[in-house]
Amino acid sequence: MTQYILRRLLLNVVVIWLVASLVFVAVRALPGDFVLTQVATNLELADNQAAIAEARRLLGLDKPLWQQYAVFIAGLATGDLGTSYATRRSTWAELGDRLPYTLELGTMIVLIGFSISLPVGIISAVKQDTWIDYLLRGFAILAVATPVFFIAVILTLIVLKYDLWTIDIIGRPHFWTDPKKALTLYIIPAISGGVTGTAGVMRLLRSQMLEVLRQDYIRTAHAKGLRRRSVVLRHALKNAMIPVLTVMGLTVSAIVSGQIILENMFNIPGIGQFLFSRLLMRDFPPFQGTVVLIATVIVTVNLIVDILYAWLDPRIRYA
Amino acid sequence: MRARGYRSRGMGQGVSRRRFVGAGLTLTGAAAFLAACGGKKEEAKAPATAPGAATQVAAATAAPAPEITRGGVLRGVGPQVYDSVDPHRAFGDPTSWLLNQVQSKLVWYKNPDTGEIEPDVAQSYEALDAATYVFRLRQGVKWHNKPPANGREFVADDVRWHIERQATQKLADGTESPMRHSAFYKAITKIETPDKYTVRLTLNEPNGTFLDRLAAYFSTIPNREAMEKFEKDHRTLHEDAAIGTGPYILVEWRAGKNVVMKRNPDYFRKDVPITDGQIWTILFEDPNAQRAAFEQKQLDSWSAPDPSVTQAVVKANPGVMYEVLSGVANTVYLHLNMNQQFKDVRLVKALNMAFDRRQAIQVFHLGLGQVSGPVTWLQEGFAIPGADLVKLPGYRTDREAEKREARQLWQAGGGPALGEVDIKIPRTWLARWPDTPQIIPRMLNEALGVTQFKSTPTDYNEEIIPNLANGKFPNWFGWTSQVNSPDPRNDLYNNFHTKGSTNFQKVSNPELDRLLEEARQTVDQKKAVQIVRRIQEMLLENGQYGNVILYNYISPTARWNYLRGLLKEEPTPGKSATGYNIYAGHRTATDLWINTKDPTYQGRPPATVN
Amino acid sequence: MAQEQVAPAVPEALAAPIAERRGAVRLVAGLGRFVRRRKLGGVGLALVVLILGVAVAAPAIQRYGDTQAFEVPNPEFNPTANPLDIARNPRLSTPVILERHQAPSARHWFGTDQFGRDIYARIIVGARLAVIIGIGASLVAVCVGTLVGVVSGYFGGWFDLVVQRCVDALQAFPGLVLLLLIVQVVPEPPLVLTVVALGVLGWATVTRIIRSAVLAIKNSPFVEAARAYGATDARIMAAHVLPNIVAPIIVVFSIGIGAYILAEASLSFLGLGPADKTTWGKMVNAGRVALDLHPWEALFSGMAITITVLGFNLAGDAIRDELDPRLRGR
Repeated sequence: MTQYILRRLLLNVVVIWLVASLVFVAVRALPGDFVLTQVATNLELADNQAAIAEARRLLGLDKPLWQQYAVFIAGLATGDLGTSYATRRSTWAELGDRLPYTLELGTMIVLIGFSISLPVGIISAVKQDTWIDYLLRGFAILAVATPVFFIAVILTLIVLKYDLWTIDIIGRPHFWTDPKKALTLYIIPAISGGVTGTAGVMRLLRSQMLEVLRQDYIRTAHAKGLRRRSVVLRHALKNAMIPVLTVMGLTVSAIVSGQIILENMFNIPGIGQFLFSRLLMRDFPPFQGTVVLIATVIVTVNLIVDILYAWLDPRIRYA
Repeated sequence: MRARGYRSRGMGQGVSRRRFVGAGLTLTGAAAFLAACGGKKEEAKAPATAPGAATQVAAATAAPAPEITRGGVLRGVGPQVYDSVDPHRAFGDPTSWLLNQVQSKLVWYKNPDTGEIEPDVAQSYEALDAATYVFRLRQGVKWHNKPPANGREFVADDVRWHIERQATQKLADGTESPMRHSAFYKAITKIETPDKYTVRLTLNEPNGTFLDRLAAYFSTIPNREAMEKFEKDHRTLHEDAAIGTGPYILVEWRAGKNVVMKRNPDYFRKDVPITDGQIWTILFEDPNAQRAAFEQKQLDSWSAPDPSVTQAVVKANPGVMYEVLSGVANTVYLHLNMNQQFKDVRLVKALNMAFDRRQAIQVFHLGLGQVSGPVTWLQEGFAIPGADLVKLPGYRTDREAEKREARQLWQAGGGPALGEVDIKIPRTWLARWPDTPQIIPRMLNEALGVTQFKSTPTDYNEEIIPNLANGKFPNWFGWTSQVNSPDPRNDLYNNFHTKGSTNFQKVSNPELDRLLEEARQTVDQKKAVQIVRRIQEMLLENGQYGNVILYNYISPTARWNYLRGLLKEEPTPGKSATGYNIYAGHRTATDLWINTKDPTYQGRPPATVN
Repeated sequence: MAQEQVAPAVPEALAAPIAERRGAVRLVAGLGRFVRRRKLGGVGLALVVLILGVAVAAPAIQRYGDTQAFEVPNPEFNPTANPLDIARNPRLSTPVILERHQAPSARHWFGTDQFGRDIYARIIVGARLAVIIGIGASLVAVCVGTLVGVVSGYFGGWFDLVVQRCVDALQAFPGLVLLLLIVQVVPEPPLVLTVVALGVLGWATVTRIIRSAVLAIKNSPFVEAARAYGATDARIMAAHVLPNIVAPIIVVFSIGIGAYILAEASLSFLGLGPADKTTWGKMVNAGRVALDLHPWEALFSGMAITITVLGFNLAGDAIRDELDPRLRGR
């Protein structure tokens, strides 16, 4: 097992390096650069080539590409995620400001999402082909098919029109400083994201549960007179959860990468919105650094999930 | 770059729409306003006869307006990126917009639309002749009481430093750093400070627009100690770098955070600012977020990208909101490259008539706007009066006659032989009006009876700007640089003089050069207007040398009833208020206020600046 | 979040070998039985047929052009007014104005939008684009993913190792971010390029699934038999491996369609959708700020997206349920 983990870790480093190279090349393939986005507000300045060149030089944009690449990779190796052209702050500092928001939103999405989808998945499986099953599956399927921002817009309008509560759009509250205000802001995106995002998990859980519930050992447990609920929860669920864990792992990764759309709509300065705005602004260092960081988190989470897999299912063994 | 084309200039500032866009630009703002003294439109006074007395702030005198309540904190959306704390070196305008609140200028606009100038930190000024100006500074003006300035007195040497630094482009340690307006300040050949309250400037040549430049938004005077302290690190935002002598003191100015400023208790004008402070909120451009914030009174004013939505929201909330109409200072142009396809001026003149300006205003802007002659209607003092403009080709209301003439000129100039003509549209424009590539060619084809015209998207950064200097830019339609001053003479010079810095059409007409120089050197306002009129006629005779100016449109902004002041015309039942068109952020302190006694003020979330 | 991972995860259970030969032939023959047995699947199939029909028949049923701006007489038109007044007020001089934000009527079944364009026509045209984007991108993803997955899974070795690391790298990239990068490289990309770009985004997930399916049957008796007879690798892959992984391919393909349509909607939401085309995502984005004032644009386009994605998902789910014998009801 240890050998497996070590080998996986080494491969993870390779993957991260691939991601870093990919993002480095990709952003430089985009038209425009940071200096142009700042300069290009005045026609007079367009002529001021000296100023433009000076700005580029200060930011290191005039160096040859291979040199920029080397600096970037070397920085990554030492944990330096770059310094923003726009704000002159290190990417770590910027992410530090934004991570709490992403975590707050992400946690709420996961909580609300899974607290709906897990029970629904189980119930739906247990009551297969009854009207309850159809209703719940219909709801889940509808949720997956609706764009997340659509739900968010409708919910916001309902809240504003009927004056249900005041959404604190500009305050950017945190749960630990002002829980009430934070709730007013996060509840709508959390419901929207939770419902649409985890409906897939719900359906997967249902199908996995169905498969497991048909197994012999379940029938044996029933025959032995065990109560239905304990059969379901203790035996079936544990086995059904295995592939579901994989998907949950992926889901959490997706949350970490940020809910770009929801953050944008509710003025939540999280990591997703950060990526988006830096990309538009051609602010390379924080964009590159954040993407690499997220990739690192994802491959690490995948590794952890795979290890959990092996622990949960004794049939799976890694060479 | 595909973001939208708006920049907000913070509370009460002009709805400024930059054609180029960095990400994170925001959208709201009431236009810059000024309550006109008695509502009269005054001609810009000639500097030679400027009054010597210290001026008082023009208080709102419109009869139905309620009594001003002092205090309260304004709240609006601010720009998201400031590229430097140093107004001398900042590339983009947001820094200057902000510094208009905290720093003073030698003179400023009393009325930004007419161009009437009055002294600001100067107590009086005098133009001895068109090349010599004397400023007598107020006495006892103090820099903000913050380190490193610590409330010391503002003296003539501060002005000297401000000018010399930009003229020489040298920093305190001797290194050179490009400064945006060095060309202007280099023209000052002699600075004399006979005593600590007097500054005498001598220019290298007569310049009738000199005071106008000094009153412009970018001419704020920073504090020397603060600038030198932040010299190395001028790109990192910090509230202690923005020290000035202005009505507000910066409490917080950091990247990614709200900008917070509070009243300056030692400001040299009594009773100014009216409000206790301002908060410039960081708010993403998302229209749902902005509208929700506005409707919950977390913003005091707002405008949507689609003006009909702004108007619909105001209509849906009768009696608690009102609408303010103000001109958008980014003029809309049709640029035709006269060194490539449009070598024959008749072709340009044909398009000048074929383009239906009023229809474009109707289609794109709900009919809110005005056609513009070679000097736009925003620059009231110099624009050709509407009654005369409507008789000129391109501006006549008889569209059939215009189209007939346009067709003749198009044929005579060899238009059909051009083949396909591509009028490109920048993507920032397309983001707001996606149908433009269908509308423009259809309009031109139908007017000229051809099928040659088409439109494809383009990018300012990719295709237009890099090719301006080498003359290989494409034909394009869209916004252009903002009109920031009521005086057009410098822009006219830069655009059309042989030695002009933005003369992309490579115009070289000695007669025109002479007129442009003369206009710029004339101090007498009336004479200047006459010369500029002659210039405009000449431009029209020559198809505006390819820079076919079209119109400036008007944009509505929604305001809660409790936000008052800074209006050209107050709202009346059934009629929108009118705001100012040309940017005058400095009037926020003197004219914008919050009516705490208004019923709509209840439920407004509290805002503090301490 | 499921909409930011472009191709959804399909359970590993599906990658197992299929004992009985169930090919496309059997599926078509069992269509009637299928619909009767799986009612939701039947609904899905009906919706798919509807959307495809609309997309194919678009020019015939759209009534108007999708960029045609409708004008109505301008009530303020007064050409005989004082020229100076006309000069001051452009509304006096224009004989027509745009028919903006009209409610649904006999003339405009779904109403009009901000620029006076008929929403119904735009939705019909959008259907065509949605189908092209969804099916096209899914096709690209499935083709590339299957090719790579089969070769990688069958041959194994260092090629497999390298490919799998690339797949990992692509999957570690935040999905929407990768998409944002791709669509900005070429400004104004032709539709084909957008479709391919979207598909390229999702091939990694497809490869994973196909590869594990291939791994499962790589050493099956019939494959070994074919090898013993001297069949080439290519023939084995084409004739023996491929037909036996048809089931996961079909499922991934059909469920991917909905995911790609939603991905395009997300792009348009962020303002980065195809600039010159009429897509449902763009319509929702344009109309969402005024959903209470004039909801027609956002509402109808949002419903169109939901119905389409719903149809493909239901159909895909039912196909999967049908093809996997272990999931049939008790």
